[in-house]
Amino acid sequence: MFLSLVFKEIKQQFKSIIFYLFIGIIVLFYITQFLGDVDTEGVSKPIPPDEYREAYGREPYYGYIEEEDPEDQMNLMYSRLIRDANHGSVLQHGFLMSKIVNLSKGQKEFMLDAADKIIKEGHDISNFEADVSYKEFQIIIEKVDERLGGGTYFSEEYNDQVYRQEKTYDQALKDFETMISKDTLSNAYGRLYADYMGIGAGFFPIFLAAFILTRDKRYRMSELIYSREISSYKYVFAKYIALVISVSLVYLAIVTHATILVSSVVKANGYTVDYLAFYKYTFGWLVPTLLFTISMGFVISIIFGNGIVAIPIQFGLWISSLLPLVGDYGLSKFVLRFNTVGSYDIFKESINDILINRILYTVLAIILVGVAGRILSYRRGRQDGIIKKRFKRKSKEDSRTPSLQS
Amino acid sequence: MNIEIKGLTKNYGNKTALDNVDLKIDKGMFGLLGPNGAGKTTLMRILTTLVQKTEGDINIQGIDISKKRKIRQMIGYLPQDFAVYPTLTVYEAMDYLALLSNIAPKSKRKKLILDLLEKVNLEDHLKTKVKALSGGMKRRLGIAQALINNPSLLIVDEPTAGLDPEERIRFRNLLRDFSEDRIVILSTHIVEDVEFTCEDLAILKEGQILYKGKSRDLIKQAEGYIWTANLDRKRLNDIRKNHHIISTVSEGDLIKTRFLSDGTPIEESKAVSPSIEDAYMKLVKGV
Repeated sequence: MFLSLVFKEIKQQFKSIIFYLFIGIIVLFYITQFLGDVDTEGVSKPIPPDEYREAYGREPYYGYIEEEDPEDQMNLMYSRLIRDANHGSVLQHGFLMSKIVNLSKGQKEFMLDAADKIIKEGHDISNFEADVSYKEFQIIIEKVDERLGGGTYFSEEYNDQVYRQEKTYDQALKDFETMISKDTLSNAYGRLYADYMGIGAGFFPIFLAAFILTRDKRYRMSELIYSREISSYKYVFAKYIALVISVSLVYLAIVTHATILVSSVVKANGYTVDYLAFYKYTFGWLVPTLLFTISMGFVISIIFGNGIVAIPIQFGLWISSLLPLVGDYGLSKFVLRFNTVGSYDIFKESINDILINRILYTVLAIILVGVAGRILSYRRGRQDGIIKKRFKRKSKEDSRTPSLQS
Repeated sequence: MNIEIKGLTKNYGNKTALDNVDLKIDKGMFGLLGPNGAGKTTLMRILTTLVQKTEGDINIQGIDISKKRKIRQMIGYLPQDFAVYPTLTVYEAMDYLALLSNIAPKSKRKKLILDLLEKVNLEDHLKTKVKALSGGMKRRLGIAQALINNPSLLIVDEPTAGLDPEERIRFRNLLRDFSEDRIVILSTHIVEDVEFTCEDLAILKEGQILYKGKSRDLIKQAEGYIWTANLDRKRLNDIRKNHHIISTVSEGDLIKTRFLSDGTPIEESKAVSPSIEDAYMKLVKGV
């Protein structure tokens, strides 16, 4: 019986125009984001610099590597500090967008003073050697970010974009060989796929989820449904599972296309193909994001009795979860980013964090749907709204009409 | 099968929608009459577990109203504002609502749905979208869905409002047919609906019960209070000042007027046998 209900809800979903709009957006996202990054060049072994220059007439770029050595980090940040102060502007990340901010004279002086604290005036800067400890350096840089209004590359949130260096050919070659021998190209692309599609999964399903439970009210069916025998939990979970299946079917269709496409490229380059790689990353990496997004839509819409509210709330959560592009798999991130092909070492180091994160968000999603069921159970016996309004209106009318006896 | 309501009160803030209502309802059709805002819909919603009471006791077939799951198993409900997802067909709507009433398996649902749709004359509209049904057909679908779980208590709220006379008669007959072996509570402000279908009734006004009992006893109470006279317009206006007019019909230059009065109102008037509508008016107007 539960499955019949799920099936009926899926059928309803496939009759909805919004669902087809959702499919359109997801497919567009897939084409513009993921497919744009799949090319045979990315699959090839890195070309030695001399050969590259001869073939393409420009300097080769092998990607970047995160810098973890404190001394090197200080060096990179110091250079950035001097460069931005001399340039007179910094990039500031806001809630919705980033902007270039021109520095005031006071701010420039503050930055140069901070640089002088890192390497005292008169000391040799050609051979970087900091005059402060790493901890002191962090405090200095944090103050610079504060002085600039926050959200700059000097903040803890965005400093990873400074702490990186271009890979050398040898590093790129080593990375590539690790990927081929320990990982596979299919897995590397599978993670990239999960990264890009996870961005969409963290937000777009909210437009479907937020209006599922309020649909009964919109079509004036609440009384009809709420006076029936079905338990609130069964009702909510049937709708939830139906929406998860409907949305997953869309992702399943896209992932099949991605598997066929990438497998043919990988095969053509003579490397081993893992046909399950994309499916593995879709279900293990992307589906928990979907589960969480949809559950948020359910619970917020039922708390507020309004689907619209869920959209800005989810948008805020989503934006806060999108950066950095690689390497942060803490529990505060419900969208996990891995915006690179390769970097197997980072993945290997983070695998436990990723697993814990995905399990947490799956469990959290189920709890949230349970909460939505509990709230519905409470609300369905308290459908006083319409009558209350009627009484309020009546009492207003009464207060406006003077009594005949007075 | 019976319903016992004792001391039922429902407050919305400092407004009282139902005030210490006592009622006992037995098997058969039961009419709940009252002007708009009398508290009928509140009472219906409490009985359907959609609204919580403030005070009092309600037992349906010995089961307390707080046992919502059990009560929901026993009731069928046709709300005043009956609507279904517009993209569903008649059959799909019935099947969906049957599933929400925990009716399984599919074969059982199918048989039940086809039987009910045949009874309400919608068997030729299985694949018609709900949004394409006429008002009367929609109400018939409404009654069919309310009966899908074979309820021992069927609650219908203002079911004939907005229907044309032919559909109204058809609907009343349907309700009467379905009242065998169960309680059917018909809540309405249209007296005629109750007159033709219910032997027992209650009249609510401002949240209080003005009358409960047999409709024939209600009529008896109005004997000697209902008068008729053929009047010209001037005389009609005079009568209107002192008496409650029940109806007026033009007859040539004169107007045949039916009105309420507790004594002989004018010389040319004569007492007539009251209808249930007259009795209702007498009660509501407090004559």
